[in-house]
Amino acid sequence: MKGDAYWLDGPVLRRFLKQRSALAGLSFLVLLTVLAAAAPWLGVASPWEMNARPLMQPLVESAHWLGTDMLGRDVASGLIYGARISLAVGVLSTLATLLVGFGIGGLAGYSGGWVDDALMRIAEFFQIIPQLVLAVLLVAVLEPSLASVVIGIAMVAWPPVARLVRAEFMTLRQREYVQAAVVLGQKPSAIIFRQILPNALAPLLVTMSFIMGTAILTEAALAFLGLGDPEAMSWGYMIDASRNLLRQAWWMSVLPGLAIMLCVLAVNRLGEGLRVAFELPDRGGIDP
Amino acid sequence: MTWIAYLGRRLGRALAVILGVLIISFCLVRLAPGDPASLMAGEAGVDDAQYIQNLRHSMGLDQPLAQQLWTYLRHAAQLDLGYSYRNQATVWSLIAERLPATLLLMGSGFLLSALIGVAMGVLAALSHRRRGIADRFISHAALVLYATPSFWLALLLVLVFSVLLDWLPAFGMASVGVELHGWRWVLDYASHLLLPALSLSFMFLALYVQLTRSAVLESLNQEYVRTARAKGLKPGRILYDHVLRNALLPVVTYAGLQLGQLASGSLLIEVVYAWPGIGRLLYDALTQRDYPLLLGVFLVISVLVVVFNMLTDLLCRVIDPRIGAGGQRS
Repeated sequence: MKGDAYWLDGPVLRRFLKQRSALAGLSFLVLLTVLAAAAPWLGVASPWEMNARPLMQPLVESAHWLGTDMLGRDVASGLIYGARISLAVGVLSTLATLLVGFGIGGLAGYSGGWVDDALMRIAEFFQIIPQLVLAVLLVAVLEPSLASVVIGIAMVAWPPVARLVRAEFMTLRQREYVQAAVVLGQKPSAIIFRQILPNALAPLLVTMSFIMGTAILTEAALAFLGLGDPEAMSWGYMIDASRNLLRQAWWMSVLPGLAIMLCVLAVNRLGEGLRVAFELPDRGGIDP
Repeated sequence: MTWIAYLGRRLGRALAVILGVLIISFCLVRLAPGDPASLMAGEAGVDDAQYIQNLRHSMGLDQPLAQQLWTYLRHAAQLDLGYSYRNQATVWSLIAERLPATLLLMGSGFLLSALIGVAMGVLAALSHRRRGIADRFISHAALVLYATPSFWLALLLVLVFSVLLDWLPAFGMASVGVELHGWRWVLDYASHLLLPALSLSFMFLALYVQLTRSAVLESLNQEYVRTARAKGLKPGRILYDHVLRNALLPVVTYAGLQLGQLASGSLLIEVVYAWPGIGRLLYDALTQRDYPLLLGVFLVISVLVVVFNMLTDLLCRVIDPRIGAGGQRS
């Protein structure tokens, strides 16, 4: 291990570039991000605008090539604008999860002893209880919004990150270069950010991508239960709004679900690609 | 560690988790906008300062927080989970009425996922050794399944089996308005149960396939399997007696850890199929913002999960005596 930024070495990048599914996932995500971010400037109509005949089938009219919903809103616009909320919640709640997990895991791993014991019991607690139900309750009590959804997801998703960070801290603490830094009299914060963090980054990145996949699924489930941000069009909301019309208009519920699936699959494949590139142990390609 | 000591410790841990759940739901009540008294007054349709003041006093909201927590815990221990004004019934009676349906769904969902998952996992592992196409297909399918939202998959099943093929009912637990007896009654329930249970099982299928596959591949390379083969045992016997037995352990262990997910998944599936369980109850409470009911359901689901989690831990110890001796799982 070579201190800073060893993951940008040639071999890691080469190993990553060799994996087609990871590259496909990355390209899909980049495309989706650009499309979602630039939607208003690409001439994509507002997903709330009722500008066509309701319940129009897909592939019939080129202006509404994915059909319209029961209020005559364009399904394709809904999918593109829905990507905004899915990606935003995915990224934000992954960052929030990282923050909580890093704080708790770092504290546990750095202090050890009874603090470590107590914190790990708390982590275990959050892994045993029904996580989605807790997230549902939190969002309902805080009133649905982007912030409450992110808080709800981070609140239940942090234990795997905390465990990982704790384990990394514990092994890295024993390493000679960290002990050397301690002997040299570096401050704990400097040791954490300059010595430990760069070396824990590879497994963290991999775990984060799997957490992001789960976060997107959780956001969709929350929106499906009517707990999405009421201001934003989302894939989960689209499925919920149209599920009673399954008989008349299958495309309204099938297409957003397909979008969720592809998005999560892309994120997971990217994570798996990173795992292989960093040569981390195989965990079956699923779950952190 | 002796059995008694282990049992005591495990029970203590379960109780600690339940206490944690109670404290969390106590805090959640206080996070809610407005205090519970004005909320309840609003539920009851009364907007009178004196009434709210009285309610606050009778609910003990004018007492110190620690005192309130103690009262809350005492009530919960007596199954007094509050009153739902929307439904004009106690929270516990509402939940108790719906609990069997959820247990039936969770149980059959788990059984299906374990059975299909283990079978697919074994198939994939055996095919892997022959570089067969089944392994690649099953592994890829598991990855896709893992990325699929369960409630959407449930809708797809409805679309295919109820709307297009018209083979199975799309919602409810039994046919309404028909009097059925004997095996027809059983068949009616089973046909209503099949799609929801299958949808729920899909959530965990991918996990069990992967677990079984890698566990079987690992044990196939063990020396005791080579010995069994060398002494001329039939492949089927080796698979059952030597490989599967060891491969099942991670599945049982994970099943215990996945119970919370199973309960969460059941919530989503119940919503899709209008299954009359506590998940559906939670959903209705959600749309009505019925906080006492919401918290009651959360509490009961969590306690259920904790209890079953403890039981699977004990089961693991029975299946594998090494766990107790080595103390790998404390």
